[in-house]
Amino acid sequence: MGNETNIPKTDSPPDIELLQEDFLRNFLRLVQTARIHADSNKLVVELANNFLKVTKELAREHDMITLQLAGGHLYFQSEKIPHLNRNAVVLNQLTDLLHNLDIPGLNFLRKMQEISQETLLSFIRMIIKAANTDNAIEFLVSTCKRKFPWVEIIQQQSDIHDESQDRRDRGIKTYSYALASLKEVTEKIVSQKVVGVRKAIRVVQKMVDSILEDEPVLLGLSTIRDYDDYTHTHSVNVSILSMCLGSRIGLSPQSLEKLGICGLFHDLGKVDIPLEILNKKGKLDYREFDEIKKHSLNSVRQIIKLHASDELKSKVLLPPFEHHLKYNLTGYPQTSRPKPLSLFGRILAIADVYDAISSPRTYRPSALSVDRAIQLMLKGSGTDFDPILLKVFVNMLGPYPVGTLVELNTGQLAFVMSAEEKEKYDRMRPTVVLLDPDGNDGYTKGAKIDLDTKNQTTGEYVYEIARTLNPVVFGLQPAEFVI
Amino acid sequence: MSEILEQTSPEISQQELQSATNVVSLLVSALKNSSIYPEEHSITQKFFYKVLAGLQKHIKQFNGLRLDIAHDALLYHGEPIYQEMSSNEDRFVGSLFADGITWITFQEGITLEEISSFFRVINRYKDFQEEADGDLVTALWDLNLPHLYYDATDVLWETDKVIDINQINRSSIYSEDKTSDSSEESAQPDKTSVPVEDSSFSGLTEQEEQILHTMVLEEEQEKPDEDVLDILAIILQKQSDENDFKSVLLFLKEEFEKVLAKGGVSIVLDLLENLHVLMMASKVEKPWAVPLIGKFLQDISTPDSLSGLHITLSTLDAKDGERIDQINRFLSVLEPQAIDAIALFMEDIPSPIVQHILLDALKHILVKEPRVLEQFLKHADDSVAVKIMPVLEILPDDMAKRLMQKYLHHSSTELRRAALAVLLHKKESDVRMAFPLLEDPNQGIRELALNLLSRHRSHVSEQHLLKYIQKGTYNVTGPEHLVSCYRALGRCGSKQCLPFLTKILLNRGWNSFLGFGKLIHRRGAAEALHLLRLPEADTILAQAAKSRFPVIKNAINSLG
Repeated sequence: MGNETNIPKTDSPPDIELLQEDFLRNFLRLVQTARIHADSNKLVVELANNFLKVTKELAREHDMITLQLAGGHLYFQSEKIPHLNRNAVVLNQLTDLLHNLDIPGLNFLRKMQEISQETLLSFIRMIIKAANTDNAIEFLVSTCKRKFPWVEIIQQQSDIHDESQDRRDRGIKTYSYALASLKEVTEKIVSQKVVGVRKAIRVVQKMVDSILEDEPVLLGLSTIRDYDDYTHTHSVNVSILSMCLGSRIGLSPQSLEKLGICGLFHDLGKVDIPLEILNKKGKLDYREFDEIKKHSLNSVRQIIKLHASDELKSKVLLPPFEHHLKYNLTGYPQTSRPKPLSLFGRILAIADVYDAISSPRTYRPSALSVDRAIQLMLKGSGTDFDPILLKVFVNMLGPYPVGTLVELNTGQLAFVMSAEEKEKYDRMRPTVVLLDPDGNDGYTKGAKIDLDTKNQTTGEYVYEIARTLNPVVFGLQPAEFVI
Repeated sequence: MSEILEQTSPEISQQELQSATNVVSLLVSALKNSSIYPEEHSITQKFFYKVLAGLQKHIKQFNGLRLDIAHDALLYHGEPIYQEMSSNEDRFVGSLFADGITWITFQEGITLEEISSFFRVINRYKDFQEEADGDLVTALWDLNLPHLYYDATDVLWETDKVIDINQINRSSIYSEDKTSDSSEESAQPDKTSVPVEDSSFSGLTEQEEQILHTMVLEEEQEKPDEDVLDILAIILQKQSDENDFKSVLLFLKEEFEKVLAKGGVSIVLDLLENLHVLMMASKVEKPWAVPLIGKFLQDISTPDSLSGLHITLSTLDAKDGERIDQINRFLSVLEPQAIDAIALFMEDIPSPIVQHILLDALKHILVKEPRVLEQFLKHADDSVAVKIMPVLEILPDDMAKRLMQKYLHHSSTELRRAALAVLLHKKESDVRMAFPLLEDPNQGIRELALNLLSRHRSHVSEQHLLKYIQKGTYNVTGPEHLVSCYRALGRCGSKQCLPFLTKILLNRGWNSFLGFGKLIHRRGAAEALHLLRLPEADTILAQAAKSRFPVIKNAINSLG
């Protein structure tokens, strides 16, 4: 309704994304309502007030508010506005309005926050008039210059720089670099060369920056599962998941860096395991499993041999040693050391198990879907895993972690894209991306749907999750759809 | 990494350009000097201050200083202001460029510490390394300097391909499984599940938040790497490859030193005890490991490796019994090479409790390997040798005697005194070693020597003193020395010296052969007789007391 705003009633910082939605919705409603009502109409006045309020809030963060159409998409500032169910109508109508005005967009300058309600409504009347004028753009430009200097009419469609796409691209690059750097390290170990860690450290630092800037991108990439190169992909995923968890509990960037390196190198010792054991299909015998169990210790040994500062090595040795030890100190390697696991070791153990049991493996074809993986891990809370850290971890991923394949009540398949803890959302109703059948037994990326969308008439949710499925069974790579 | 907006103003004044050029000149000079002199050197510091002043002036006037890096040149607003010669040994622009840094910006608020850190990083990483442990970018990231921003490109991955998620193999097995009807349950991947609903998705309780907060705080604190030493010891136990064993030991040495410097005496003690156990066990299982561990134990017993103990010893509280016990145990498991370090500590730390601990440690070492002391003393300073001297008493007799002879005749008074003190401290000492010291130029030493001779009734001492007194000519002048010799004779003598003493005391003509002052001899003889504590001696003294000759009576009266 027109009188809804997301402006906080307290001093808490506003959610920019929500304000952005308010801005768009109020602007559109104001234009639509002013078309049929006089300026004195109660609803018009209320909408104008709301719009000014939202503008003032946004002006705290931005010098200029830009609404622009490019390549068929609406952009708020330089971010593409996601096309979700709940805002689809507003976005379509705004697009139509800009088409009618024959302009690519508008810049609202900061001084707009000083204008009166009357001035705003005068501007809205001018917009309405322009929409019915033949040479709308000329009329808008000249009128704004004369009467509304707080608005600039964008006259030419520009190449919008999509920052969100940039972040995604940077994320994929960073993930690739992490994989490449790790492979380089293992290859040099195998060929018994001196192994520097410059690239590994740099990529982990990039990952830390990325996580601190935009956690969902790397978290989404951690859903990548590579059957052909499990160990490297797994290590990068564990590194990301560990750092995300570490970030959630408030570790400093420098500690996150060490944690990330632990994740990246925690399985380095696998280079010592004969390939016929590592890649054996089917169950391992005791002797083979004993070989596998040596890898924690071997990882430490390999880390010691790296050409890295002693300071770094001493900080990243312990967690790889501990990553197969459980919270109650069972697991392996068994030693006479009765000490509790380190914080990094406990984090690594959680990330390692989560990624491992949700990944296809040569020797254990019973990979779990990510939500089932979490369910299983919760059973080990307090015995296998630190209960508090596990709680933070599952909260971080949400009940439906990114990459969960769901079947909706409509019969459609979809991947969970975001299950962040936004207060406005029910965490059981994440944003998903639909899987459109491509006609060749495969799927393409479909529309994004927000599962908390309600039918405006009945007030009921439009979509329900019927069940979760395992993407592996369908030969699907979640990252392909969710990034 | 911090991002800042690119400065695009094309119009800059000549004054601004000159100011930026001046700052860069200062940077270059400071870098050159910081690569020659240590960071704390006054010259280096002077240049750092100059850079700081130059930067502050420029930043204040022109709102920050951004330097763009293009190969081997620095640009300011697109204008080249510094060109680096490829032959320049202190080249840094090329290093910044090679590591992918495209610009650096110094912002308002920059401090001397930030400038020092920046130069430290440049000096450490300016030379290219094939397999480096980091670079300028990683180091600057770690430092996170609040007023120095930079941007770095992905220069290290220029040849690496970006993955195509669509091309990743998401498992051939499951593609097959999807169509096969395998009857083996375990081979079936998880296909469906119901939505998760669990209390774990509720937030943390207040108590859990608190526990988590404590965990993080502890993790962020610097602490002795006890766990690392534990793990390394475990790795060694399980290690079957000799080269890897060596690698671990090499790293272990660094960790040992680090932990010791942080005060982790009990931690390194545990390690050394574990290693001794491992060395014993390895004799059968992996004999090649025994000399390697032995070498390690020797290496960590050197002054360099043990230097970290200095602060622990300097701050040791005499009431901290547990700590003292740990240090005692730690020092006792060190190898004999530790004598050098222990001696250095003895010299540096005067605290009596520390001196006592160190002396005990030396004794432990010398019980295991006495020869190291002789070797050590060949080069030791006199002041150190004096402090170490008490350990001579626990050495095997022949070695102790050899060293004692050396130090009893040493030119240093302090060493002679210390050596004599050792002889005095021993229950059974060869008193003959003290004979030459009866005429030592130092009175205190002569007295100590006499103390030693007169400590017990001794025929050897008695005969020597008799001979000495009777010879009549002395290198030491002054009556008191002679009286002291008589006193010593009285304490160590027996009936055998009665005739001599009687004659000296009572005869009026016989003792005229004695060199100086008959009265002194009479007085000395009276004192000796008194100290003999023999009835025969008392009789003689009584007889002398009744003498009609004043010289004899006076000698008795001097007894008081």
